[in-house]
Amino acid sequence: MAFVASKGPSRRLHGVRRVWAGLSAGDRIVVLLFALIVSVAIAGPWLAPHPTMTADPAQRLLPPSLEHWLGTDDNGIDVFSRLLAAPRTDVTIALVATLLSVLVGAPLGVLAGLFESHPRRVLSLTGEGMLRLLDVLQAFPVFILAMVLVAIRGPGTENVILAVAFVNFPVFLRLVRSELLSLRQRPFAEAARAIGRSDLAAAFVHLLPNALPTVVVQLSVTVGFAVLLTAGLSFVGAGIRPPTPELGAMIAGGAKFMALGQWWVSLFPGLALGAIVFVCGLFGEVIGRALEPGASSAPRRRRAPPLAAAAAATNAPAADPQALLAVDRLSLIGDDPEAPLLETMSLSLRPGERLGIVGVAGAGKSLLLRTVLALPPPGTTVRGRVRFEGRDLETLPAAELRRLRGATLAAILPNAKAQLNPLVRIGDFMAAQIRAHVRCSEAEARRRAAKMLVAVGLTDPERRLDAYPHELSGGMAQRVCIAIALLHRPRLLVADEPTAGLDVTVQRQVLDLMLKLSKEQNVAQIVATRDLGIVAHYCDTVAVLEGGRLVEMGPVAAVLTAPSSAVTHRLIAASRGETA
Amino acid sequence: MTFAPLVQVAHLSKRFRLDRHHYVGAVNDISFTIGKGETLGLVGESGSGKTTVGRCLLRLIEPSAGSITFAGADLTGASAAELRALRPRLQLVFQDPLASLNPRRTIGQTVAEPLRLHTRQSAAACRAAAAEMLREVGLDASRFDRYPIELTASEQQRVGIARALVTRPDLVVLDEPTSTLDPIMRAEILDVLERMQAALGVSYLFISHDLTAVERLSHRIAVMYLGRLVEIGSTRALMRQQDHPYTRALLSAVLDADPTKPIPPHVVEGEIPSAVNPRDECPFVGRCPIHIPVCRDAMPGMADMGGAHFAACVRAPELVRGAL
Repeated sequence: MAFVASKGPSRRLHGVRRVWAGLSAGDRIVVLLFALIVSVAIAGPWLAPHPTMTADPAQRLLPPSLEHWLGTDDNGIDVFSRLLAAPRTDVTIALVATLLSVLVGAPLGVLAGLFESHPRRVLSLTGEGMLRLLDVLQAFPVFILAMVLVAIRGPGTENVILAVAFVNFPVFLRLVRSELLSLRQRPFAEAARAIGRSDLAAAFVHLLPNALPTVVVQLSVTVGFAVLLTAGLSFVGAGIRPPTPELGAMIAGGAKFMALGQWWVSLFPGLALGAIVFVCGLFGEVIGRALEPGASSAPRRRRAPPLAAAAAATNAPAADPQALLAVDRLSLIGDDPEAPLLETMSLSLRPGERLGIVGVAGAGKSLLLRTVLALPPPGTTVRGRVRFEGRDLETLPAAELRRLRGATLAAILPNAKAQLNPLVRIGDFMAAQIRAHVRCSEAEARRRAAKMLVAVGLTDPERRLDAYPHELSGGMAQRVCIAIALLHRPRLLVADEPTAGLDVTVQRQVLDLMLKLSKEQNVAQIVATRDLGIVAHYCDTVAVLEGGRLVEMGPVAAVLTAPSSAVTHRLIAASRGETA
Repeated sequence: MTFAPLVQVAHLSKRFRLDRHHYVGAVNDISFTIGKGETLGLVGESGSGKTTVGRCLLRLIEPSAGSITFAGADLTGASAAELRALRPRLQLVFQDPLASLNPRRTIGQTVAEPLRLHTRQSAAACRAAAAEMLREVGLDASRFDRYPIELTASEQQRVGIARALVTRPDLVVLDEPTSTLDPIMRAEILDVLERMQAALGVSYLFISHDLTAVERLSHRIAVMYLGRLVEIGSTRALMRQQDHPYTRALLSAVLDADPTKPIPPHVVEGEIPSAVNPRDECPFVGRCPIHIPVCRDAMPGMADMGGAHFAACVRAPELVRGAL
């Protein structure tokens, strides 16, 4: 398998190092800050330069100084020392409570997801009942609910933990349930059933692990929120009581001095609280990105094969004065300058000529088309020139290029339905396209649109104009896209897999339509396809790509009956379902 | 070549209810058999119901009516526990290879899983058997600890095939196994499937809209249109002579890669109609170039055209004589 040859084991880093290597500078700062918070939560009390619980009336309410960096509070205790000691209380409570809520919430979420659509009525009612109960629970404001719980059970660390866990477990239950419902639709879930897993086992073995990234992101957001909730409960006196160092209680203790100008007692714990919550939230996002499968694996790289002996095509052809499109030594450079995505391609196209582009998946067919349309993927660099009607597309001002695109230079892309805005009627979409290039009235634009729909073989154009994209079949949507591409009488039509996803009996209709337009209106075409049959019967010339290089190009009859490159041989054999 | 019967499907139907008065007739009254070691190709366009037939055969979807007999046992009446015990003998290969593999499990874990579930072998023995199966489908041992996303599409589909074959099943439903692959990968996968059938004697139900692939792999071909079986016969006979106008249309739409061969005239217009509340008529009547009034009266029965070749068209005898 040539295409993964460069992914040798030597380039695979493992575990933490691999994750770290994949992080951006900003993400690394977030990770370091989170590590700092955890370290302070563990070691803070030991690092405090002054006692954190012993009152000293002589040192009461001193402003920040070299002795007391952040001043002292109304008991004469060093604020900085208390600030180092406090996170242990808050962060521990938050972490334990969050873990508790995920350990309860996640399995219940799996069950709720499995039960609610279960054919057995007992189970579906149980699932439904669970969700309605949650609705009731979540109807109460979280803070009030937590306060009531602590009030019933009395203050104390365990009770605060229980209260915070109780108000947070519905979050995980709902999250896991909704993840499960969408994961169940994925083919690998059906694969698990097909090999004989029970639904329950499949949910825990195959689905839950795939819900983890989302859960972990939520976990870290919830930890931040739980810190806030713990501090809030303590602030109103329903959580941790002084003298135990705790951020909420510290803020509450200093609040009354704020007005007297002794701002330091409350301000620093407040800032610390804000910072903890903020970093927890950011940390969640970093983890979420790192946990995506393949997030830190090396970017896709294809190895360029050795140049075929008769690669005359890569030499610049003699400038064709009649050329509509001239691609001259075009290269597209991605992340690795050593392995360009497209390598020094030259080709030209005359008016009315139909060029087929073939190659295996990943050969660069779509990249070539996008580059010709002056739409290279982000993060890539284009070298060489693309001249259309004698003008250099790369250096053309953006406004000029816009005028060109959709008018004389038109594109048809695969999966027509996805390109039509689902919220806009076909007629409105087409009228807007017309009026973007031509000054005319709404009614005139609509008339033109209807005429074009008839031209592409759609019956009852008025009804089609009023239709939304979802009301069209795949074949009709592809015809609409062709109609849109043809609205301004283009001179070049660039089509990427124009019949992919269409049924074979419909495919012929679309291809015949494109052929007819090409002949009647002298429209040049570039068609990228994996189907050599389309090239054989609907194109004049063919270009064969392999690994980003143009390995063979010439008249269709010559190339397909007497191919000179190995890949063309293989493609021809493969078109009969055989390996060369 | 004749095969001892393995699967017998009789009058299979599947309806998906939309509301009180509307339903989708995805599969309507279909009967066919698959022999031991035989490949039955099931062709048709999107919406023809071929995927639903495959899922019903594995009871991943519950059939609405009809019966399926597998190796002499009634599959339609099997309980959940009986079905689970049959799973190792009835397997499935998916259309989208990457999506069918759990992204968080290595190739080795995925292929060993059916063995872990259905045999009492040790974990090490399961791993060894999975590695052996991966080697047989043409995957190097170095792939064993890789994740699906690190493989090419062709390799991913080999993993899907290895997972299906590792329990030595009697029947594998291949649901468009090559339709997302490029032609060279398609040819590789067809090679693998052919080789594995020769080695294991497994039967395939090969579902595809790709006639080239179906022709290459199948002993017999069944053609579906709008939830109905319209023609069934041996591959050689069907490719030579099509007795149903839809099969003719389907074949005429295949474009040969040889530019010197003239392309067959293109015969049908329009698209496959809606399958909501299908009427009792020939499903192809709206697009058929040779339809006559009687085609709208009732669904034509399967007429025996000789040589175990059947076609559901009232004008089939005329087609055979070349009168049309």
